[in-house]
Amino acid sequence: MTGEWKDDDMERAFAEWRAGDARDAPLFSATYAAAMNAATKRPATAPWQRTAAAATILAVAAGGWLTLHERLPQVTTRFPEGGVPAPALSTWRSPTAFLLQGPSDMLTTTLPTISASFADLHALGVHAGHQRQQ
Amino acid sequence: MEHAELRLQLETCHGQSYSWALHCCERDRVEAEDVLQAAYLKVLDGRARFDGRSSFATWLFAVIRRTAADERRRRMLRFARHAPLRDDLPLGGERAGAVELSESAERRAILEAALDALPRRQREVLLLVMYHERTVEEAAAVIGIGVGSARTHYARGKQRLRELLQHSELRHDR
Repeated sequence: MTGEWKDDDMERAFAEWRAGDARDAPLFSATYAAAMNAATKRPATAPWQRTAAAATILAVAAGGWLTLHERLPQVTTRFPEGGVPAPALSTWRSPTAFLLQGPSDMLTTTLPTISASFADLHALGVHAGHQRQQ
Repeated sequence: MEHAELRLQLETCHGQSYSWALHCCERDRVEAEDVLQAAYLKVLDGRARFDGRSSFATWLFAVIRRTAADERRRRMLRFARHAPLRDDLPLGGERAGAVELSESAERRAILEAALDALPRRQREVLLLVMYHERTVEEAAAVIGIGVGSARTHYARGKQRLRELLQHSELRHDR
């Protein structure tokens, strides 16, 4: 079997397929009756019932949130009761902060006071004029 | 829409609706009938309402497609929960007695096999346009995609379908 499929061939094949399926279709009356049966058995949900269901869900969610919200502060106040006062955030220091400290920290963290140094030199007998002469 | 009018519209579209349900259920007749019945139920009890934005058939096709997808998901969940693993189930694609098919049945079998090889979106658009004789715009509305996207799927799908048909092992002669 050889040959090419053109648009006409495809349309013809689809039409044959469509006709075959249409012959096999179940009767409308049977499908409709089954659907109607199921519709009458199925309890109808009125709009007010949907609203009531939504309101119940909202109320339960709000109740849950409130309960949780009330419980949360109790959990945080347990620490002071146990004798460990919670430090203020501004004064808190890391437990490993000491690892960053070294002997030369003073040089980098403090500023020298120039007037004091000048006074110290003066006390040692070193004068500005004497230095210039030298 | 009045109940009598609704019934008349459903009856008018029944043949096409069944064919579309068949395509949405991978040609499983029992499942297609269940899906069609479930879709009618949705229409009758008001869970699906026709708002007149498209033709009745286009809207009904969209309802059937969604119902089939829901049904498929439900079955998969049920299968995952209860079904034992079986190795003796036949793999898809093999059709019994294909050799003895008549010429038109053979053409149909080739066409079905070629369509099965297409990506799902392309297959859906092609079936809606070429089998159900919907416009590309209507096909887009049924699937829930943009018209431009549907046009692309249609053009690529048709091109690919033609290639697959020409390279199929069982070619038809005239």
